[in-house]
Amino acid sequence: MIVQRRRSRRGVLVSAGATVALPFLESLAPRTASAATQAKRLLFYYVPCGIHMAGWTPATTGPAYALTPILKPLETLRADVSVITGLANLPARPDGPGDHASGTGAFLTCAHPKKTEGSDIQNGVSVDQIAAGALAKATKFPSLQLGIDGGSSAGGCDSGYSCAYARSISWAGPATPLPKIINPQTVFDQLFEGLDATVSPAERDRRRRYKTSVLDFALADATALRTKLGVTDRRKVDEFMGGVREIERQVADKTMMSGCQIPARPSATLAYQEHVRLMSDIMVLAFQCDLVRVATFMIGNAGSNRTYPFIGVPGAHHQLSHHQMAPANLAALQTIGTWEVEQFAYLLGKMKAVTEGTGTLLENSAVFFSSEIEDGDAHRHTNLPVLLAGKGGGALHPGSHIIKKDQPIANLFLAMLGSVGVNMPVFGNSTGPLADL
Amino acid sequence: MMYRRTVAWAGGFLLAFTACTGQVGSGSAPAPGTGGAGASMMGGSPAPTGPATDPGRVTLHRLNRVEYNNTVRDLLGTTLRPADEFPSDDRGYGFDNIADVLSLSPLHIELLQRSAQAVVDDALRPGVDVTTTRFEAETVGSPIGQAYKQAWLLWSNGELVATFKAPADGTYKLRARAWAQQAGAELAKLSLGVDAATKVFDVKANEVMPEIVESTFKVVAGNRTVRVGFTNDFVDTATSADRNLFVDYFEIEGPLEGPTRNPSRDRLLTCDPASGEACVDTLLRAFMRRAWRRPVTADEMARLMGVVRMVRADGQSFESGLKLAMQSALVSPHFVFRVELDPTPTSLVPHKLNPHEFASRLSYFLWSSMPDDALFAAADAGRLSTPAEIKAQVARMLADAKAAALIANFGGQWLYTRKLDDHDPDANVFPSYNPALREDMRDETQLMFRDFVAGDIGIDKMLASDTTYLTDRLAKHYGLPPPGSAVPKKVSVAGTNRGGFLTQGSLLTVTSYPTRTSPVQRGRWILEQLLCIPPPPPPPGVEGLKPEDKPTGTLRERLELHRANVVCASCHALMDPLGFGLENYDAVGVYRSTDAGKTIDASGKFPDGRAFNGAKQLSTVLAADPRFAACVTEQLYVYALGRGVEHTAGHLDTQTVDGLAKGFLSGGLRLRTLLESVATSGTFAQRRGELEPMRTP
Repeated sequence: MIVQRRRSRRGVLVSAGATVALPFLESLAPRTASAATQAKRLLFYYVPCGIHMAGWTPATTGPAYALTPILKPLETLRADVSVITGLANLPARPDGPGDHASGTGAFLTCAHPKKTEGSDIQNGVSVDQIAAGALAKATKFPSLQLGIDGGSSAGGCDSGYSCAYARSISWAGPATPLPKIINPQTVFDQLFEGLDATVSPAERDRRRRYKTSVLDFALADATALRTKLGVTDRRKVDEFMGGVREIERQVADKTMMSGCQIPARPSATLAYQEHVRLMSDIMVLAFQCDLVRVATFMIGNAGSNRTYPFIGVPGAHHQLSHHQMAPANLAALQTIGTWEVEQFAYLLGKMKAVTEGTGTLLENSAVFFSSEIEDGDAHRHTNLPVLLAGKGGGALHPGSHIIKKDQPIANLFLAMLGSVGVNMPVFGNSTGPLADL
Repeated sequence: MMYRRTVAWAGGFLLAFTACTGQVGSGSAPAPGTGGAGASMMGGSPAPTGPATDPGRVTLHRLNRVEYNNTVRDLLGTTLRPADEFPSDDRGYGFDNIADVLSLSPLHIELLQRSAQAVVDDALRPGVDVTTTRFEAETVGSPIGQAYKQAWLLWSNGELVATFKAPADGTYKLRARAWAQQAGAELAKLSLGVDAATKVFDVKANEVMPEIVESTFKVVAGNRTVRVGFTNDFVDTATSADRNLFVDYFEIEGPLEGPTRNPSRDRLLTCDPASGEACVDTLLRAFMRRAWRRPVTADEMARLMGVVRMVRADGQSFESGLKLAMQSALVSPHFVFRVELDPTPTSLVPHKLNPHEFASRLSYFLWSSMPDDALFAAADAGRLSTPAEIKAQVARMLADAKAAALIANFGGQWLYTRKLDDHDPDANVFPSYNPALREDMRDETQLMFRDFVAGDIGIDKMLASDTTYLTDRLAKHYGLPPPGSAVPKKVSVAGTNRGGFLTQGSLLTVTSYPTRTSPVQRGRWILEQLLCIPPPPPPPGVEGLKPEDKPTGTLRERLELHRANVVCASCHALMDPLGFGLENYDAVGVYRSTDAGKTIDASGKFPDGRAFNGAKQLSTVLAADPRFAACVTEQLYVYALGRGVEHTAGHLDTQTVDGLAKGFLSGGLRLRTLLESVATSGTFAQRRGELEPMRTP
């Protein structure tokens, strides 16, 4: 890949190992540059195992609240973020145990995931996919699902809930979880395929035709095969055909062929912290190049038992989150939570540094941060730890600590959809869009 | 005598278990897939009303990540593992090859297309020969100097430059034949260079006997600049002494590592595609029957040749056309899925699989990969229908190195060995744990399991064994004398605190938390994986131990709280005692006699009051439990078919699994025999269609 060195004064690209600071591309006019048609984005950021709320919730409300230890990394961004206290996601309550999988499955659907480990998984459509459906025509990719952890390789995921609930927050349909990409190279290749300026237009066109030919061939085979199958097998072929059609649509999209500088292809093997930052860089770049307008990110899977030796935390996340009020456990959880907010602040900082029209990428976005549960020991699905960043293109007025006690989090999602121009009468268990955000 | 006592005990155990769910008695049918084997062995499942004839059906099975990697390896000879980047496969019934839950997304399609391109390119990558490319200096020329006889005279500092296409990365030798006209204090200096790398040599020779100057360079494949230069021009105007360099020729030879063939290309291209369409047709035909695991139709071939012609019409080579056709085949549902067709998709009448469908079932069961040529040949000839023919194939296939897949995939998921990949013991608490030790643990378990696949030992020996496989590193970890080997060596552990799978580091580690053991998780593993009894879930809101500012007492003492609480007790009374039996082994499997300064109590009691003390006594009891045999049978059956066990009336599964388990038990618990029996069972060779859902007009 070609590194645009003349731009590298603002960001050094290091392909092997180190954190990749992708370059800022303020000179690149997105497809919709004028204020009236300025592209708006939605981003949903997931952290596992809840938050130590005593170290999170500010003591007072309004813009002058004092930052708590876990929120400290937001200091320079406090005008860009609101802390929202009191929201609940009651449909996420599991049947019996399984709060992590159930809370994660319902994280963006506000629906009640069916307890099953079989093929009969049942959830709702997630808010990001509602937005993606409405905004898809604008960009090459309707949405992007990124994460860090693939999934465990043996044993159950959580108390009788399918691993799909524990691994995916984006749901295109009630039984269609969207898997996430965890390898930075994979997402890089997907985003930037066909955008390599060193390839001649003729060659690029040929590659596109050949890829389409391969997909057409598969689609024709699937269509013929489908007629010979029973109802259950047909569903599998339908999934296949749906996937082929979506990729064909992406291949056919030629509108993104210019204006986007391709950075160096990142390394596939990274330390966890670098991996998290690189995925943030990629999301910002994908927004900046207007390749996609809706994204979700999972910093870990449901009930993650990751260890954090790099910040001096002994023990593992899920195990610690069952803290039993032991001070050492609470201190460790506070350190982990602070680190997570630090990563979120890094992402917001990068979005804020991108100039778009008269504002910034962050101002043109609505960015949501939360976890599948409130406190890790209590496993509550009320009083969730929520951050909302960005101005949603002017619809949101961040910078305060606000209380929305026991309001469904679906109401927040309705408001977020509204901020990007997607007006839904109802979503999940919503009762109406959250006001005064 | 022993057997009767065990059954009596097991009955009491089972009763306690059902009481724990709140259902007394055993009249209800077990849930499909889990919990059935134990119950049906005990006569707990309802008697079917009529003769069972339903072989069930396996949903259209997408190759999972392991199967995809193995299949492209065996089909194309590639070492790439593209499916490692595919999204994680979901699991059902404890395995990742359950067709019902293997889903597909647009991301899969994108990655399938990309990996098809990558594996075809890799398989047909041209081999590399060692070549020498010579450049005559007077032909190459330079802005400095002039031709002199059959050479070039560099009369001042300057270079001869040529471009060379290196066929592969490697070491190359650049040499020049040259002489000099000397003057001044120094000898003439000649430089050799490839791209930016330059080396300088003295040239002593004169025109009568020129010399060869040579040096090696590390070169990256592609177009490289090769340079020969003169670097220390000297002229003394007073004496007219003039130093000059003459170059006859220069040449580059390599790669010195030797010629490399691409064996995949040699194997796949039995004729030269450049020779025309007839060859491409032949190659594709041979490729397709392996790629789609069945003979292809004339119409399917015609469509593929259409792809080749489309590429040709673009002015591209036949080989390019062949490659795109191969890619098309690898993204087609006929490759991505294991297709089994019903003559009448809506008919419930059972029918036998066709020979090629059966061959695929067998090869994905034992190899997690496509059939090989011998199995294809047997399918073509219809030699896969009698038990003797199938058993012969099973024996042949288990002797093949590819049977390692059964150990890694069935064994890895049944015994949780795969969890070593994502388990992360806390480095501060367990500094001795590292990736090398982890692989030794994996090897210990896999080699043990291999003995049961390869040999005639009863699988009860898995639990009660006096031998294991140790490296010096793992022996040291266990506190045993090192066997003097860096690779795993079979050693006796008689008389030590080891013996049997329950004392192996892999299991003890993955059923622990990163900082401490979990008797609950260990007990649960025994119940679920060895006895096929899923513990009922705890009531909501009772997870975790009571808060303690300073933990006091052993973990056991703290966990006793589970059983002090009446709500928790019913289930933890079942799980915890089994786990307590393993408390002498810490969270990375090191033997210990104390925890938190107190002596460990590894004794336990079953609900019927029978007592044991420590891992070995626990193992002995478990090994003799008939539900262990039934559970192994059920797990292997689920894995073999890629679906859960159905316990509905009229379904063959219940009686098939019961029959297999009984034969397994009476035949001495030989895994090899069980593998054969599963492969020759009726449900493995049959399927049926299904009714269309009712439609409202």
